[in-house]
Amino acid sequence: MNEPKTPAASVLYRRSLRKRYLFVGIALLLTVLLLGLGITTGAMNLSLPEVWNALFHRSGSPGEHIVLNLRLPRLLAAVASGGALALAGAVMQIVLRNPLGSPFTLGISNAAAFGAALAYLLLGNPALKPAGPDTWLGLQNALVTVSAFVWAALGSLFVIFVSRKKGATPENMILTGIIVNTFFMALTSVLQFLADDVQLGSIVFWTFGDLSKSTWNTLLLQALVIVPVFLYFLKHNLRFNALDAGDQVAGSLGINVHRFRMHCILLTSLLTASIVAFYGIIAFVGLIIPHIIRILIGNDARFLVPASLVLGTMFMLLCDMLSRSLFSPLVIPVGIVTSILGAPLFVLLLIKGNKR
Amino acid sequence: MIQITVKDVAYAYGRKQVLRGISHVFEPGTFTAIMGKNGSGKTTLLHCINKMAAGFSGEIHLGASDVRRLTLEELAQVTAFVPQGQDAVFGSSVFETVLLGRLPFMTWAPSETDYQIVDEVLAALQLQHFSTTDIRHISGGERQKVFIARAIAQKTPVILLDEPVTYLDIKHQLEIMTLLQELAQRGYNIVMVVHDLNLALTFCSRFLFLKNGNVVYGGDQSQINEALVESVFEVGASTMRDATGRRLFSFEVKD
Repeated sequence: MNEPKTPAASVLYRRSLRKRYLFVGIALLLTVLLLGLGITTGAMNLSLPEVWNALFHRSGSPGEHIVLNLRLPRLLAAVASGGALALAGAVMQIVLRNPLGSPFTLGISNAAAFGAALAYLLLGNPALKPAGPDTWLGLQNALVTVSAFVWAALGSLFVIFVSRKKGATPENMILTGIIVNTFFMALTSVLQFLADDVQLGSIVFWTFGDLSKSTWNTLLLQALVIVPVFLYFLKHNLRFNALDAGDQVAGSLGINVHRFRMHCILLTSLLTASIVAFYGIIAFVGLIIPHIIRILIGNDARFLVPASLVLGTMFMLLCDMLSRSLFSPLVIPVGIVTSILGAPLFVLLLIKGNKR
Repeated sequence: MIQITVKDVAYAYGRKQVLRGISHVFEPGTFTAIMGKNGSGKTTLLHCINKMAAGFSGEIHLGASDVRRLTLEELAQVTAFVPQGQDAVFGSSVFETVLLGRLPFMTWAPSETDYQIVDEVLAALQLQHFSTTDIRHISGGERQKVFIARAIAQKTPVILLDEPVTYLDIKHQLEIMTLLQELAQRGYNIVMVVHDLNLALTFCSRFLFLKNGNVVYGGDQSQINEALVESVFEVGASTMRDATGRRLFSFEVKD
């Protein structure tokens, strides 16, 4: 009689890959469902055919205005911000070799926020200008993003500088994050102190993290950032696994570790800035989503990176729905919802992590 | 089959001169132990060979290729490296860790050949039974075997190892040394930094003794005597024979 043969290791591995593909597939499906739900429900409920007509057969109905100018930009803003922040968090955690890496915990969100506030103060608030085809508005938006990006990059470079001087231990990184956070919050406070009432209002409101500020131009700009950065990460996601094994291992596998890490930090800063500059600070998404994925399907970056994008989107769509429905008709800024949901989730993760 | 030729290599960390003109030829088919006191430049020499210590003076050739002219990608197809102490932050399975060794040959995803090589290496090292286990959850000895498996899966003619057996129990030390010895016998060029002289004498075929960044001795074990050992390691040393007639050293602290 033949003994039952153990399958080859690669067979077992490929079976585990199927589960991961399935996970990403289901998450994508749920995201599409949430998008459908988000676009049909609200103060005025619309049927799917009504949404379809609004999208593809322009008739000037009130439904069309709601779908094209209110709901769709907002939902796509949730997609962009959730996806970009979770992606940035996943990549930061890997390249900084730190489970607590995220645009927010390392202070990069606040640095970007300061950069954006500075630009708003120097340029005037584009949100207050009349809407419409206005090249100056587009230029201002671009300058705000550039300023947010530059400061986000400066914040990241400071984190890298300290980690190179003192070693990138989790403790050092988080302490550095606290320093960067506190410093830029203080600088933003100075700007708030100097701002006039209108500017102050817009700076404070904007730090809340609110998706209703999204426009088609903003979304286009974000797509131009997120899509290429995501493709870059996807192209190099095998390298992320090597980085987790340590710098020396990654180097011996043919990776220029220093250069790759720098590229990743700059690109995650760009992702963060492209969101924070327009919607304000949205905390915890970048920190928590990658960890949830690690618990569910493991650490393989080939899945972690795309799954972060998808799950980040899903989480943000859920938070957006909550922000609109919890105190309806009052809409709470989504940044508040992510923090309120994120904090207890994070505590759970910490406890679970310590048990291991 | 690749020879490593190190010629007049010097290296300094800032003002601290670590290597002062090292010359040595590592032949294919040999298992070389680089030995010396802490700080004698052993690890730095390995790092110069695989370009981790950039900016050394002198020349290093892998076969006919100047190491300086090789890109990191090209180098990764010639040398594999097992560094000292590796801690994965997030961890991965044994299979995934060994699969990493195929990274220099992948573009988007692992190929059939990559999977086949990993299967073969895991089976050869008897690691296939816990291929799905997280490497953080296996013993130090098994983990070290996994790291060596990753280096073997890289299918490079040269494997450099930095103290691969230092923290291991005797059984795992013997297993890993036997494995490396077999690889050398199959034509691999194995270069290892190691502290245990008696273990090295049992398994290695060549020896490179460093002291203060200089080569004190390079050759087989026939010329290794008490005076040399006393001078290199700054201890009292005396030789003895074990039951099989093998020459071993015992040591004592020298005043």
